[in-house]
Amino acid sequence: MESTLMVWLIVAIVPLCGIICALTPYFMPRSECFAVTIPETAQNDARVKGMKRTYCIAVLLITGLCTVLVACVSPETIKGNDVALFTAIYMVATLLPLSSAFALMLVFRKRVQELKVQEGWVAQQQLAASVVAGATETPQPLSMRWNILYIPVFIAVAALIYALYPLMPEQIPMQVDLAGKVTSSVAKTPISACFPLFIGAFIAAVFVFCSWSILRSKRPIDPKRAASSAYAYGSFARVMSIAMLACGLALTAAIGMLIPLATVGVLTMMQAALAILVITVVIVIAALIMSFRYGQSGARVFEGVQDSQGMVRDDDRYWKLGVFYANAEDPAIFVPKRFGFGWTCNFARPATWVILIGFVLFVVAFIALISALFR
Amino acid sequence: MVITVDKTSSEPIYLQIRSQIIAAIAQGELAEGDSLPSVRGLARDLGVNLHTANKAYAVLQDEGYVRMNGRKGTTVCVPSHAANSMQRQDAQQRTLDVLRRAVVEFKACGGTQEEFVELAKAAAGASEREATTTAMPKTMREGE
Repeated sequence: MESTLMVWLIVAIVPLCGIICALTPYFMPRSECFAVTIPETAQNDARVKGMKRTYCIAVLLITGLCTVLVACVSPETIKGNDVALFTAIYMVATLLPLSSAFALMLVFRKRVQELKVQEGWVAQQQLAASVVAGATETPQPLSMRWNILYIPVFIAVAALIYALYPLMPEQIPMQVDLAGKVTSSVAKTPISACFPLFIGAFIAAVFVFCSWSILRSKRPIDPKRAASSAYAYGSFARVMSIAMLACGLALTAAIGMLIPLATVGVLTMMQAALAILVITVVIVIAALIMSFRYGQSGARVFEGVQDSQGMVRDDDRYWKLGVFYANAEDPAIFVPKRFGFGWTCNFARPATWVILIGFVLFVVAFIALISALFR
Repeated sequence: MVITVDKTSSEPIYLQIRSQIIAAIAQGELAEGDSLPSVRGLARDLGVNLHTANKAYAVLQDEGYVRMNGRKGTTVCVPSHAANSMQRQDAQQRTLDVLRRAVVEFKACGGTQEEFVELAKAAAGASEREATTTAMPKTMREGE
């Protein structure tokens, strides 16, 4: 029963991610199409509409195909057979919609660029705007102070581990397979019992970094409608920062509580893993709903507002392959994505590389620490 | 209050920022004590060099329109409220200089003193009316 639910939830992630990818062109600001700046009125052009539709249908078809493929091997996996085959097919099924979406985006980006030249869509100015005062009325992302909420979570987890420590077996399981069989375990010590705290600290650090980057991001304001675009972006950034905090707290608390409970046998390992998987699926569904409701940078907050004529700026040349932003003159380290939901980095800034290398070092150090402590 | 800069304009960006802040003070959009964003935040949003945003604030500070309070940030300072009478005099002196230059040019084009006063009145009226329209850089530049 549990393994059935578990496998189907894992399978469900494939179509959910595929749908987000397929709908991406519809989540983007109307002044952009396949990472190309266009006049908003050009969104009503039949060719632009057609390209978006074709992209969407193609990605949906590939996603559907991949979903069917994984679903076909799932029944055997539930019985405990063909786990390696399932893993391999699952890898392909998650990566194929993503990579084909990227390839299709590049194809249509090229076509929109050609259309732009052909139609003479040129920005006469390079406008950028910033809301300087009265910013208190526009929604703001959560401040870093909210991250204090991780502290009670850690205290609760530590207290739970302390309380359950006498009940823990001499060998603490570290890894379980899809069938719930323990594949690796370590001797019980106070440090090995604290394993969930280490994982929780890692997750919290990643989410705290995300909320920090949201606060430091460039805020894209449309000079033609400064107040409403500031409001739209503010709502988007706020809801994203709330989502980051909620995800971080939920995952930290779930992993921190469920692993010790499973160790002492209150829950089975399968039930614990299932609960964490449910949280993951909820997060993916929430991402889909948020992209639908808010759109990238709040593009869908004021849906139905009259399209503006012309282009206030054109920074396409800084977007390499439509997704990598590199502008040495821009002091912003974090900028909203050009094709996708969320933020990306300005790769022309040295600070970006310091942060990226720092992040890689952090992950490597964490893995090294874990393997040193729990081997 | 929104600051909009045009990177294709021949007017330096720091002067675009400066004139818009001054216009916002003139129109009452910015009041004494209002806090302004940090140099870093402004540069990030506008996608301009940190140096550019710094220059704008430095000029405004010298002209008495903003006050830099170290870690507390930058706040708006209306020169007529300024405790510093030197800054008030400075502001008047600057206006006088601009007017003198304009008068000379106007006379050279064959204008009379009365006509100049009429035009000055009209310009003052226009800057009052602008308070109700959105602050776009083009109108700002014309107002300068």
